[in-house]
Amino acid sequence: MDTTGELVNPIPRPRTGPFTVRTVPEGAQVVLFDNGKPNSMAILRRTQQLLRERGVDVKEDIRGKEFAGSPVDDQTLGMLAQERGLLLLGVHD
Amino acid sequence: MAGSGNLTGNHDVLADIERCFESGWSDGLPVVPPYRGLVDDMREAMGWPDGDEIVGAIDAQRLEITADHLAAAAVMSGCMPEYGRVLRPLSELLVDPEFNLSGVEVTTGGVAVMVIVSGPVVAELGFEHEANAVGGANCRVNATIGRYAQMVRLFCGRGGGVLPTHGTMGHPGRLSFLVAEHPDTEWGPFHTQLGLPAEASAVSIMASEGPNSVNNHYGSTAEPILDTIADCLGHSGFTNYYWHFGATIIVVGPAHAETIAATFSRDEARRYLFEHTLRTTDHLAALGRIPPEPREKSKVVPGTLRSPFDHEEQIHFLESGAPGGRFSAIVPGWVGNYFVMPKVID
Repeated sequence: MDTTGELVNPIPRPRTGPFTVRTVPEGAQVVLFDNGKPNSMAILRRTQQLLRERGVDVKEDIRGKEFAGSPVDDQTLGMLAQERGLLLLGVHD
Repeated sequence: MAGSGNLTGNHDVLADIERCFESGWSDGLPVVPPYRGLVDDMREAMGWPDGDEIVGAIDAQRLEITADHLAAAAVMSGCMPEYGRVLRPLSELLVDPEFNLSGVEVTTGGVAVMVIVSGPVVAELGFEHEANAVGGANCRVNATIGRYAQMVRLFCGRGGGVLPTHGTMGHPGRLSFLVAEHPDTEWGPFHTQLGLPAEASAVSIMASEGPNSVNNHYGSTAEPILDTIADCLGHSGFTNYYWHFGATIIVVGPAHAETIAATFSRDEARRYLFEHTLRTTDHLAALGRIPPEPREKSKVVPGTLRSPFDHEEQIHFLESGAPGGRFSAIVPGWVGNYFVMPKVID
């Protein structure tokens, strides 16, 4: 058995250029995103209602992905990246 | 987990095993250190001369999975180069975007990759297909190829080590999960249900929950055995009751297979299970097994009987296990992808 030389990394690393993440929202608005879990839309609608009762601006449109088990497609991800408010992404079951 | 680049090697194998642990290059058990020479031999056996060849990608994670990544995982899991003819098509299935490897890894469902091997390759490579065939067969080819599939899931499904997994329960198959079918079956090879020719050898994968045992020792005809399987499939906690999309594999033990096949074809048995695995939708909703606002895709109709399956083709039979006891097992698939995916082994 050849046990000399390098050990080969089995873990692929993301190949992506530099990108910027805004950690503080630029706009005073909450944007909700439905991850497709069974109760997530019901919970998000309730969240929307409660936040509005407390005077928080919440975007009416709740975008989502078709199915919880699938990744967000690039087009939707691109749209979300343009949001300037606080983005809340999905809730668990 | 953190990938930290290629490690420079030394001659102390035990120390290198520890270094793999420290680098996150482990599934929790000791690994064979992926020395360059071993990886090159394995990659050649898998049919990839170039280590930088991109075998698959996870676009959402911006990941490219190379032949070297896969060959390293095969070495680490303890595979032998002789398994390369199985590892190659298995690898191609694992990185197929349809399988959604990252989703399989991070889901709350805590699922594993179930690997199914069927056809002449079972005897050719000496897969255990009798004693403890569904898990814990203590046979190298079963254990290491099953482990390889989980390692690829683990190493490649977490976005390069940056995504957490959310598995709520998990199950032991997340370390290794491979079931080989008997070379001689009552109903024909497993892969013929997936459109492959009977004479082929095949490897198939399904993202799956843990197996459930089905015991029926005293039913002497097909119906009571199928009813028992249907009862196991139809318990109210069965994940698919709401989602409705996942596949399920029934691993039929040889005694049950002989009894059922005496009067039922495989299609008839599938139809029987589909028609006898039912609960009332309203009861499931009252239990909290269906959400208050169900999604249209799940086709929830109040006041009706509900199957956990949208259509009977979601049910598959696999003939495996030891003679003697009268057991079968069900393996529920993950609800996040819909298929058992097969590939021919050359």
